[in-house]
Amino acid sequence: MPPSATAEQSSSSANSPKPPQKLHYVFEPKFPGPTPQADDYSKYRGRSDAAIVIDNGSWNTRVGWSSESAPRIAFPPILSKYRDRKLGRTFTLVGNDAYADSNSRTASKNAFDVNIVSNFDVMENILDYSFLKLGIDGNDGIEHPIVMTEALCNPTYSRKTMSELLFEAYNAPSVTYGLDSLFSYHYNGGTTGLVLSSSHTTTHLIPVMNGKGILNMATRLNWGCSQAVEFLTKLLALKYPGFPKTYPQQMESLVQEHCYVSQDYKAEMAGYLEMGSLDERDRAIQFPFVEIIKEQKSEEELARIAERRKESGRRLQEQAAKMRLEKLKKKEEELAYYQHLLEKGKTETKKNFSRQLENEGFKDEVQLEKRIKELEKSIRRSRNKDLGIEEEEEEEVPTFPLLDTPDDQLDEDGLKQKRAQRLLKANYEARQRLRAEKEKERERLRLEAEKEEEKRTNDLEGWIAEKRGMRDGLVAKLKEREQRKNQLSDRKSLASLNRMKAIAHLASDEPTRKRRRGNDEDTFGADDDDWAIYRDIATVNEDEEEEDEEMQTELKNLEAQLLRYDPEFTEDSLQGAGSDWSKSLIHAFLRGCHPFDPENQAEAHQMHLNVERIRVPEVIFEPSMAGVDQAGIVEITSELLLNRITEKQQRESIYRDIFLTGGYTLFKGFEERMRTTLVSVLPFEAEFGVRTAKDPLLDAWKGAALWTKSNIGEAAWKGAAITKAEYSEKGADYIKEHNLGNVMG
Amino acid sequence: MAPNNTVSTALHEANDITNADKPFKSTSWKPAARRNKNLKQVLIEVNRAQAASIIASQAQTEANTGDNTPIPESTLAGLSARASAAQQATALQKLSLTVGQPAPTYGNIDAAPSLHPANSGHWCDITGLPASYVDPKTKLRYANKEVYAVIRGLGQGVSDQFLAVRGANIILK
Repeated sequence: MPPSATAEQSSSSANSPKPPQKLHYVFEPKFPGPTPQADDYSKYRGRSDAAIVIDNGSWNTRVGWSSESAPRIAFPPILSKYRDRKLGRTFTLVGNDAYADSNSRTASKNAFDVNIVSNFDVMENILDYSFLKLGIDGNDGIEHPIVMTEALCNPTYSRKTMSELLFEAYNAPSVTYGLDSLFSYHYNGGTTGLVLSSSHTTTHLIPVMNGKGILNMATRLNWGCSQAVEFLTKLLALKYPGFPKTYPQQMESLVQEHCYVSQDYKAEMAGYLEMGSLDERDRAIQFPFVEIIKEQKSEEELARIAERRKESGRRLQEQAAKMRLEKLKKKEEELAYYQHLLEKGKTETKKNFSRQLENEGFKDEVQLEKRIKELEKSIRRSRNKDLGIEEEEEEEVPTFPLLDTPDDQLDEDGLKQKRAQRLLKANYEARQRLRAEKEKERERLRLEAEKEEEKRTNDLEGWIAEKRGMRDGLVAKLKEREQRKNQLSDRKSLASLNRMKAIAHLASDEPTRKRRRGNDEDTFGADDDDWAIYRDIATVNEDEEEEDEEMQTELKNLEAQLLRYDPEFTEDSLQGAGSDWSKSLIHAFLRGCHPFDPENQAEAHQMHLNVERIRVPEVIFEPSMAGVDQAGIVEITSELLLNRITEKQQRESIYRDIFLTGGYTLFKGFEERMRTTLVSVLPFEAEFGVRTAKDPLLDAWKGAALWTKSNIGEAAWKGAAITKAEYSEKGADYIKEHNLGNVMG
Repeated sequence: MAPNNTVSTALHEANDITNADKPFKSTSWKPAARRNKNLKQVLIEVNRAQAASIIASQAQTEANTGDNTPIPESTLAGLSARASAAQQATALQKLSLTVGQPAPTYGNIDAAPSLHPANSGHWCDITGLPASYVDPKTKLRYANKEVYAVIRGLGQGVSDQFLAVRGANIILK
């Protein structure tokens, strides 16, 4: 990883003194490049003493020559039969080649089901590929013995099909099967001890006496690296719901890089999320993301934009002014016309004039005058607006002359008008009253604000205390309501029970019966409080929701004020802002020891590994944590050593050499933890030894090669290898038992 | 992503072994039909064969000792028809070799459940910390009240997913 890749992590809060956390970039599945084909087969051609050793593991298949010190090739046992529709061609890609691109990767299939070979089409391609890469060019078969590892207690069907494949498809002269863990032990010079092999899919314990595995006492725990990866995947999916898709390879790399075995799980776990020292334990994993870049505008550009906006505003104003002018002109024309009409009416006959009025849609002269007055007023108003004169709207006090005249002095028309005037007057007075009230209210608010201002300036503390008290009261009230709502959603809560009781009471027939007896009346509703019952039994109360909203706005106002004047009231103390993140356990769990900014794209694509780092490997000691109903590895070991091996001398010689191999033992602290926990279960002052294989991954292959090299051609070899003739004679499921192999099942 | 595509296609072409020359392979080899079986199928077959061979060997000892525990003729015939003669022979051999000790098989080497389940700790289902409480509603274990608030806020079915991690969810069939 380039050093420049340690991107800056912007922190949202300015008062964070911590330097940004170191980021770990997640592993990107990458194609390691094509595997070259060996060109030195001439060394081995025709040599029947050169055996091909295949460590047929569920994580990696490793193939090489028995006379060499390391396998030639190692690859995952997968096959991708991938059809390219454009080319109309099917590709057969094996091992790492299946990782060439995402299409072939998703089409890949594994040869294994847990730890036994189940898909023999894949297996056949794996063998094809292996022999191709070794550069073998035999004629109608390979001419080399094959030594292959298999699972402990490999079921007969699986072995039978494998033998069939090796003998019939490849014409192997002989095949020897052995156990990977025992080969690894053999390579590390062990003869008597307990082999604990924790590998990709399983964990096996096999006691070994004088170089021979005692398979009667072998035990399997169904937990290995692949299960650990799955476990972590599940945990992280629940920890970060909605996180973009992750790949199994990424999860595998996380387990490999960051997980370790805790020496004292309970104590370490209890303090794992403590903020003070979390920095050392928390690992931030950055997943790839696409940054959404906000366009940064230069000052010049901003100025230009502002200018443009202003320009368009001006244009709009101009347009509006033009339109207003047009309207004004039209109104003026109208006015001139009506005035002309009025003038004409003075000279013309009454009949003629009224006809003209009717044509224009007026009833009488009064209406025309009213219209003219209106027009004049609106013209004046708009002219003033254009000229920018604030016109003091002096409302003329309307007069109601007829009201004071007694009725008997009026004719019928007058009476009508008087009635109309009385109505108008009442209206007018009501308006006045309203206005006065509003004025008064405004005055009152102003006074109140002034008073508060005064109080705040004179006695800030008291003011703050009062406001805080109000705020706290509101918060408590809101909380109580929330609680009640929550309780109602729970069928068994007291609030729900009370509600059901109330409903039952309302629906019951009791009141009716009483009435029939005649001594009591149904008085429901006589008291206004009776109706409150309907409010109580409603689950969704609209009134309450409205009230809630009111309270929320009030709370916001109060908080705004407090925020402004109270120095101790900060953004963090706002209702709903959540408590201080640095004291939150959940924050530590999800986001580590730094503030989290959900707007930050980089941070939104980060996972924090903390408790998982010890939680995932711990499962082997306590399988129930992951729902595996088996005893932990220490309990199995002690049960095996103390109860199943009955002879004391045998037991002591076995626990003197407890040998760890397989990928799971690569977790930091695994050997140490085994040692410390075994002290507590083995007898007092027991002399026991724990050691790990030199190379827990490759020693199985190396051991098989070593064993083959030293035994080939000898009696031991003859006793272990199944020849083609034996295969033909004794059947496909025939095996020979030897020290490092399976027994007849 | 056209250029990338051609790159991977070239890679595929280079690595393809469909038509590679395989001189080491027998020309007469034809894989058996339906040879792929998953572990479960294989184990079921093993169990069946074992049951058959045990009954068959019991019948054998009976014939030898003259003891006549009645075994229905029909079941015996049905089972022995399924178990091959070879399997019967190996079962016999096995019985005589390991007295009292059953031979290890894929099925019987599985480690037993813990004898001290109380020793296993109680861990918070959300955070993994030591948990002192259990939510009676969801049966989730939790470490403190802040985690409890999270549990209350879980959507429907999410609590089951948390339980499923440690295999404690209830599956209705």
